Amino acid sequence: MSRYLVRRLLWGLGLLLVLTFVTYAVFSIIPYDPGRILFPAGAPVTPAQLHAADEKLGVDRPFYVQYTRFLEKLVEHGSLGDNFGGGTVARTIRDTAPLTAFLIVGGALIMLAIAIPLGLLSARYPNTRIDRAILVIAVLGIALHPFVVGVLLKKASGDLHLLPTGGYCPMHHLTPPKTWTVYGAEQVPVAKLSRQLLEEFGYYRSPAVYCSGAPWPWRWFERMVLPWFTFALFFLAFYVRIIRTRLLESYNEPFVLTARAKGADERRVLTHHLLRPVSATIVTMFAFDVGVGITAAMYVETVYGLPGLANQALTALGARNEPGYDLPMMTGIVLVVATTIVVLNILADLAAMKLDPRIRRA
Amino acid sequence: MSAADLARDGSGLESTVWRRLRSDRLALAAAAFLALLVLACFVGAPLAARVLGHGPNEYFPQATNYVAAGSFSTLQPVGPWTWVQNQGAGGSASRTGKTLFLLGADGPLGHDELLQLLYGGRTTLEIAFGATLLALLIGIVLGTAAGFFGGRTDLLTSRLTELVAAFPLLLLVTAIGWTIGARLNSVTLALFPRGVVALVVILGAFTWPYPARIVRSQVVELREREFIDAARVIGSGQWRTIRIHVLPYLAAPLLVYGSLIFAANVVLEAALSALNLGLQLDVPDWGAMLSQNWGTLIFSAVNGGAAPIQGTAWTQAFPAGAILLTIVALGLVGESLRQAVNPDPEPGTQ
Repeated sequence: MSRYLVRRLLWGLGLLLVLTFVTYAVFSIIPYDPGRILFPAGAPVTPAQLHAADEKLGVDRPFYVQYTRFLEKLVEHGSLGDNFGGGTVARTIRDTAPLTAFLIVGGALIMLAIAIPLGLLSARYPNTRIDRAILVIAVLGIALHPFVVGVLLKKASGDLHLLPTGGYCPMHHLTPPKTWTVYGAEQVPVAKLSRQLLEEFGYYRSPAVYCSGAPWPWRWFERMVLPWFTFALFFLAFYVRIIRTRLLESYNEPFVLTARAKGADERRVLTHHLLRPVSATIVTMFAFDVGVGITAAMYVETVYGLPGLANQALTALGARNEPGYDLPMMTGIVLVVATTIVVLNILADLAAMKLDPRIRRA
Repeated sequence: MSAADLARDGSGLESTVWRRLRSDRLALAAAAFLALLVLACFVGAPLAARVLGHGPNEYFPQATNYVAAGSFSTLQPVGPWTWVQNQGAGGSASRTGKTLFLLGADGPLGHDELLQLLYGGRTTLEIAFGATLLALLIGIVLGTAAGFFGGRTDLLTSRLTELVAAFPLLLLVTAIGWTIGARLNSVTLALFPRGVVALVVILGAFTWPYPARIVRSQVVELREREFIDAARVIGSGQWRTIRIHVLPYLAAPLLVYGSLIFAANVVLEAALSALNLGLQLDVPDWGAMLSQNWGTLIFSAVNGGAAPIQGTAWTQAFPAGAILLTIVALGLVGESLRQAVNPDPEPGTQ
């Protein structure tokens, strides 16, 4: 067991190395001049100035040198470095990752809360009208693009004055750091920075401005409800289908027949014998899906204007305005996301072994 | 033996499949819809452009509420069934009179919504279908290898699957978009619009872990079944066993998941369009139509229609409706086919 764990962890570490290396390699081949970010847009820049700027950001060296430097910093100081755009990577991630984590976990819970009953019903009445109707309902979740689901939910909730339709209310008040590392070089006292810049990074979004009335946990909660449902609907169909398939396959398994033969009613068969193998499948599938979940989160965070990690990734990729590629930020995000996926995959496989003895034997 | 003989015989797989399919009216209707859609997009689109007298990418300033220069204009597109002064910015003086915008215009540029929809359907169907096919192909090969041979092959493929699944798709797509994108985009195989092949390859190459995992778990279960052992005992080689005994069992689950992956690909493709990494502006597609328009509807929803960018519900409703109908129809056909080709009929199948 411990040998298995060590092997998985080592593989996970290798995976992280490969992914971060690719991030750096990609950066070196795209035709993009990071040094320009230090100058006002459209300003004339001499090659010498540009070179100096590149040096300041540390991108003047070959990419493998940059990569080893990144690894050194990470191992020696546990630091992810500074963003090209200002601020440290670790801080940006700390400020944005919780929102995305909340979004994915909450969305997944709502999805399961809908998918499990639908999957059960589907498997109970296979190939009937009920089954067919459930398929159509589940497929609607994908067929109605997250953009459209978002718009419809926002419109409905806005018209009925049910829930706020956008923006985010952090669980805690975000305060900016005392000094701000601008463009990976100078330390600037935060007082000198414009309020607008800080607000862009999510600071000073005081509850007084963005979060009206409601008491503390509720004002966070009510802004997450619509994003959660939008997220949940996207994954619904896959999970309803997998639950249905697993259940139907298991109905004729010897252990189920034995249970029935011993007089267990359908309810007991379901809760005591079928739920375990089915949840083993769901758990492994869920860990596997987190990567896609990040992509889905990009949509949801865009639609609802949530300042989360997925949104940050879009900004770092420069998708918001002109082409850009904030290398330290991207590496940080890749590292966090991939680590989460690796750890979740290991946990999920362990949980599946615990739940389903057949997997343990294999 | 002719097909009719087989049908009378009642033993052929094809006849069983066909009999099961025929009895499913809803799925037949969905299939008919899909056939019509393909016909409309691939044959109807150029036909419609010819009849209407303008192309999908010609822009008509008059198809918006554009007023003479100087005054403020919201550039709100005209609604369905509007006759528009035929003076495109293409500048061809020969065009006179008015031309009909059957479904209105698509946005500030004043493209014809109907033609955009038809030509866009072509691109979207090509991309989603191609990418799904590629993903299924890679998934079947790797999943079958992992499940059937087990051991080291399984370990290697499983880890590879994990690597690709953990890889942030958008990062790679961005990189490709800026480097080899231009070269990849120009690969058209003399058949597809620019950029379609590139998107098929990118999406297919990164969505295969899904089918691979499904196939692997299916094959692992199959390997334990008696008929596989029986085949081995009577001297069936590994490839023959896979081809004759394993692959038919994969069709059923892959049909439904295939249609779901198809749906997810449409969504992903729209994401790339929204990031300006997808197709060029002159290649219309549903995803781009949706993502270019989603903001307008939100503005109207938030500000009660009083925002400077006026919302036009139909510019979003048409592509959204097209995607919706296509995917639901595909889901129904996929499900019906799955039931029909399943060698292990589930309860309820005739």
